[in-house]
Formats: sequence, C-alpha cells, structure tokens
Amino acid sequence: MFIYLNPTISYIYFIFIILSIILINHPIYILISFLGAIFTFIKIETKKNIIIKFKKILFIFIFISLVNPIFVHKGLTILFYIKDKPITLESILYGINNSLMISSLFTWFDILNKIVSSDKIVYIFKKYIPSSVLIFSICLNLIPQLKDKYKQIEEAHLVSCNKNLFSKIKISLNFVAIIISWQLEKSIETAYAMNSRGYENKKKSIFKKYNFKKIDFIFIFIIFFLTSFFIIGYKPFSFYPIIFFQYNRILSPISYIFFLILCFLPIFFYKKEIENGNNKI
Amino acid sequence: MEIIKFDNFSFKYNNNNKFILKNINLSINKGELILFIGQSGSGKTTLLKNLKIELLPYGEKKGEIYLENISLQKFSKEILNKNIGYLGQDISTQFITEKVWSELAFGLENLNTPIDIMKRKIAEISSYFNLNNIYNKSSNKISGGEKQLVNLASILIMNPKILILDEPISQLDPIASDNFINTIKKLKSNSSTTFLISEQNISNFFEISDKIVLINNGNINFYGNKNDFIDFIYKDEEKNSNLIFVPNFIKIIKHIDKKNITPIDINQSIKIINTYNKYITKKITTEIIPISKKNIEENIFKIENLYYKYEDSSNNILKNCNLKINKKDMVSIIGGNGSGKTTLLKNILSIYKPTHGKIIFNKKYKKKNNFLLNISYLPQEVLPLFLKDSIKEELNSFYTKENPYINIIKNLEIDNLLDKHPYDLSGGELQKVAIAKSILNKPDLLIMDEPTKNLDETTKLKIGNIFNYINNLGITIIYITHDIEFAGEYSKTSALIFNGEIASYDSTRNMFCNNMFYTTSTNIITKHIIENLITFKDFENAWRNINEYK
Repeated sequence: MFIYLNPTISYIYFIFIILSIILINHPIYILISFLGAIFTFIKIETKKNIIIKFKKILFIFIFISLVNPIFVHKGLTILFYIKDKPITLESILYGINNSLMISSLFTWFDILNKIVSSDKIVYIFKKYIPSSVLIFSICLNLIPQLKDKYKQIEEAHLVSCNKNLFSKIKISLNFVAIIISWQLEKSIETAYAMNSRGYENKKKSIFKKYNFKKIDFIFIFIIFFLTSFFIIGYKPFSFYPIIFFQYNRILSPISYIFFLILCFLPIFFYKKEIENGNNKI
Repeated sequence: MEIIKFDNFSFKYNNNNKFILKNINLSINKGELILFIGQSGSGKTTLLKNLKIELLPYGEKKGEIYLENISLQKFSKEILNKNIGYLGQDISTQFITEKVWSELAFGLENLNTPIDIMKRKIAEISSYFNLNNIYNKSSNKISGGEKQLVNLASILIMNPKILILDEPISQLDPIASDNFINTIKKLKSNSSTTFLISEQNISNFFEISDKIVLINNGNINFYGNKNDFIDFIYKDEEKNSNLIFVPNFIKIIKHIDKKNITPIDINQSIKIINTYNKYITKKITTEIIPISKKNIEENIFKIENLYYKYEDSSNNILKNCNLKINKKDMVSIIGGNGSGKTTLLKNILSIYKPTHGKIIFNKKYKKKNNFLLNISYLPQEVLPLFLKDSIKEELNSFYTKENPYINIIKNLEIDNLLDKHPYDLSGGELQKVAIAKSILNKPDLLIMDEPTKNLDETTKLKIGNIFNYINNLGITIIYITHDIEFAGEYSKTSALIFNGEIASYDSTRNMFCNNMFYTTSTNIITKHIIENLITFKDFENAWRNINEYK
C-alpha cells in the first residue's frame, strides 16, 4: 500500500498515529494502537528482529510497571505498604498503561523508519530545509562508514597489541580519537568534491521523484473519515485518584472500532509479495 | 582544435620552497585522451588540479592557462564547474549522498536543471552505465567498482567538455578496473569529451590513449603519441630510468629488436614474436629452478578443513581449506574478487575465529592463544596502522642504526617524510612507510594484504628487492595480491583460492607456466615458443641463449 502513496502522505499518517498515542492517555486506545503496531511489525520485519523487539518490549513492560508504583503513590486503592509508602492499584495500572504507550511508540517509529525510508525523508523535506536534509543524508552515509573504520583499525592492531584488559581499553580510546581525525580529513576531501560539482552555486533545483496522485487524495479522505468517527466517541480516562471513565453504549464502541481500523490499516493493505519482494518499500 | 594550453606555467605550494611545476608548455586538442605518466611526486596531480579551480591548492603561480584561447581566470565559477569534471582516487570520499539516485541528481541540482530534463538525463546515464540494479541502493551496500562508476556517471551527467581522471582505478580490483577502462573506451569513441588521465601503470589506458605526457620533477620530458613515446624511451636504453614505464609486452618485442614496431596489446606481441619462430630450431626450455623441498623445511602452520562464514551471511566463504606454509617461504595468494583471500588471512591471524576446522601452528610458534613469533601484519587499508602524529613518532624505536634492516629501508627514501603527519602523505608514500614499519619490526612472519597497492613501478621494484633480501635472511613472507606480474617476479610459491578452497598450491613457476590467464604477460607471449618463462629476466636469459646458438 505504501509504495503506491506519495511518501509525504505516508509520513503524515504515521506522525498522526504517533501523535494520537502521545495525546490520548486512554488505555483502550493505547492497547489498540499497541496491537496495531505489533501486528504490523510482525508482518514487515524479519524473525530475528521480531525476537529482539519482543525482548525489548518485555523489558520496558517490567521496568516501567515496577518503577511507577515505587515512585508514584497517588491513588485510593492501596494494596500493600513498603516501608510505609503505599503501593496503589491505580499506580500499577498507570505503569502498565505507560509501558504499553512507550512500547507502541518505539514500535511505530521502527515501522516508520522501515516504510518511509531515508531517501523518502530526504525527498519530503528537501524543498523546505535543503541544507539540513543534505547533512542528514551525509550522516546516514557516515554511520556505517564509521563503524567500518573502527573495525578496520581494531583488526589492524589486533595482532600487535597487548592482551591485557586495561591496555585494551586505553587503546580503544586511542582508536576513537583516530576515527575522528580520519573522518575529519576525509570530510575535507568530500567538501572539495561537493564544491567541484557546483555546490557553491546559488540557485538550485530539486529532484522530485514522486507526485500527488488520485490515490493520495483517497487515502487522506479515508483518514479524515475514520478520525472523525473516532474523535466523536472519545471520552477521556483518568487514573488518579480513582479510575474513572465515561462509556457511551453507542458512541464509544464506534470510536474504538474506527480507531482500530485506523491503526490496523497497514496490516489490511500491506502485501508482502508486492512490497517486500525486492526489499524496496 | 586546441582546447587547453599551458603557457610557461609554473606552480609552487605556499608551504614549500621549490617550484613543483616548472615552465610547463603543453597544448591539448579537443576530443583526445591524454595519458599523464610520472612517478609519485613528479607533479602530475598538481598539474591537473590547476585546471579545476575548486580543488586548486593555495600557491604561487606563474604563466597562464588557456581554455579555448581564453585565460582560465576570466571564466566564471559556474561555467568552469560545469565544463571541467574531476574524478579522484579515493572512491568513498567523492560519494556525497546516501543513495545512488541522489548522487546522480546532485550535480544537476546544483546547475539548477529543470526537473524534466533532470529525469531524462538521469534515466539516460543510468541506462548507459547499467546502473539499474543499484539505482536505489545505499552507497555502503555497493562494491568499490560500482561506486567508482557512479562517481564517474555523476560527473558525466553534467556534460563536461573536459574530464580529468586522477589514478581512477588504483583502488579497484582487476575486474572492476577492466570494467571501468571499457567504460572509458566506450565513452571516448562516442563523444567529443577530452580526457586527461593520470596513471602509474601505463598499460591500462595505453591502447586508447592518443598522446602521452611524461612528467619528471615538474618538467615535461616527453609529449607525443604512443609510438614516439616508446621510441623516445628506447633511444637511450642503457641508462634510461624511464624503461620502467614500459610494460613487459612491449619490452620483450623491443628487446628482440629495437626497430620492431610497438605492439598495442599482448595479442600483437604474440604475433610479432611468432615471426621469429623460424630462428628457434628446437623448443628451448629453461630449467625449472628446483622447488625448495617442502617436506624438509619445517611447517610454520597448517590449515586443516577450515570453514568460515560471516554472521550475516548464509554461505560459507571458506570451505574445506587446507594449506601448509613452510618456514622461509615466500608465498603469494591469488584469486578472484571475493574469493576469500582476506578472510583466510584474518583467520590465520586469529582476527576471525574459524566456524569449523583449525589452524595449527607449530608448537614452537604458538602456545595456546599467544603467538611466540613476531608477526607483522599489513592490512588492505594501511591508514589505520598510524596512531601517532608524525611518521617519526610512529617509527620511533625502530628507526635506529641498530636495526638490522635499516640499510635496506633507507633505499625507500622515507627520510624526507619523517616530519610529516600521516594524513599529509599520498597513498603511495603511506604504503611505503607502512611496509617499512612492518619490516623494521623485525618480524619472523610477514603477512600482507595487497602490499603493492598505490605504488608506482619504481617503488614496486624496490619493495620486491627488499622482499627477496629479507626472505633470504629467513623471514617467511605471505602476501595477497592481484598484481600477477609482481607475484610472478617476487614469490616462490603460490596459492590459488577458488570456491572457498585452495584450488592449487604449487611453486609459482609451475603454476604460472601451466595457467592460461592467471599468469604474467611474459609467460602468455612466449608460451608457445619458449617454455617456462615468467619474468622479463627469464626472457633476457633465454634470448641470450638462443642468440648464442645462432
């Protein structure tokens, strides 16, 4: 689905979902968003990454659910005391809610990174902030290069260095200093190369790869349609001092369902054969 | 029609007292391919950079440079930018953006090209250079050869009238080099672009060049076409140090008779030498120098059933590798691109751990995980070896009168480099210093990955002689190379890697004489007439014997 859309639209979609998680502190919506993120992630990522992701989510879940009750003692339903500080039910539930929110934020960002790849980001923002975008593009180029350089330095000295741990650490710091000097020198050459291809010219055009098509407008319309229904039935949820929320028998389920469709859109329309066939999303 | 003219041009860098270029007078015609030859430091790169103002070094100039009869200084920056392209040696620093398509678009964007013209030009040049497969890829996922082609394409897309290439293939493996050379050949025959190429090794672009410029010490010693160049060198053969620039396939023919025509390629050399067949009454064979008896010399290490697989790959790059290296041997490891040569070396040095199989060092030389012998390792990229701020500090304790190897290292003339910072040295100079350091380390085992990279022919000769010398003193040398001529000249044993295995391990002479392609040009040319020749010296000796028969 996303390859058919203009990347700006895809980007707007994901930013919208991410914003809605941040602004809405309602566990049911958070849960829906979390499930959407997880299922999409499973659909688009490799097995190895999925396992790593699950481990991270588990860690966040345990950590935040435990930390929140220890530090926040608001809430009326007290379960037990630790060193005369009360551990409340509301606090634990808030912790669980928060961990789901953070996990789904991380997952949505990962999905965003994979679907709206870096060159699309370059395309989206190039008209508005061309210099920053160029720096972004150069940085993306640099990070694998720096890793590679470090590996080269390490391997070059592996044979002749001391096996002792302390001197290894000392030498690693030296290596980091070397990478920085090495990269700075190379960057000067890159700057020369940029100049020699005309970078100092004042007037520049922008290479545009994508246009707005009918399907982009249809997609925007769908988003608005779903959002309006979801907003209509939205009722805030509060944890402290006691769990309280409103539930309208008609509007609330409608709101939940439309938000679910909104979050599960990528799963409904993502076809692995088309989009992941050549690993080009 | 003249497109570039240097009129009494001299140039001196600001921090230097000498003039690097002295009274250069040169007139270049449009559409020609000019080859600039000279040793490292002769001034080739400085001369070419003076045509490209953005890369112009700070310095004092005398004389003028004219482009199409107008002085270079009178042109605006934008016009010069577009019309003169420059491709350097270092492949990755010239690749600016992340993806191939944005790299191609970069130059055009800077020229404010309208978008439909941009799309057309990008499409055209991608198809011409066959970049379709890598169009959407990131720069760190494509090979060196592909990167250099993208660099070339992104300059050509701006339609320059003059294209300057500064040692463009020195960092590439033979196949990527061939690909690049063929691309230039295609471009030359289909366009009116003027090519200025600076090279260490004359044979690469010799065939397609129109004129050759020989620069020595900032002066132009020769400017003319190919045949005149060879005649010029052979005019004064006995004391001519320029002979080193002549590739072996020409040297052989000229050695037979100076008046022979200059062959363009190996094929022509073979045809010419076949005409002498009638003088050779019977097939002369030179004696094969006896292989140092493998079983008598002790092993340094043995590789048994080695398998190695990278983590993020599903294939074993080394499969069932078996090898025995003897003490005091000089071994060259050859093989195609990606065949696993570097991986094998890293396994030997314990940089990588084998997935399966073992590398057994003789107990004298390795105990548990510690090497008991002194190993010097020269990786493919030598810059990481330099940790200090000056060469003097780097060589420090080694570069003393007491060091037994100091005299042969003096031959490399690195004294004038001692005060410089490693990053200020050229590729060739750095390589020299790295080799010097690894030898001054007094190693028992010298392991090198592409030691002749970036070196000009004169330095290669010196390095080769140094290798011979230290090998005779008892140092075991193992090196990877794709310079077959060097391997033929300076190794006793060779190992050919293919399909993850050591496909062949034999004395160099045996292997090369029986190979069709992985052998020296001398061997290819003389195979059918005289057996068992691999170096030019072999040919000289053999030809002398033939003449004695006559």
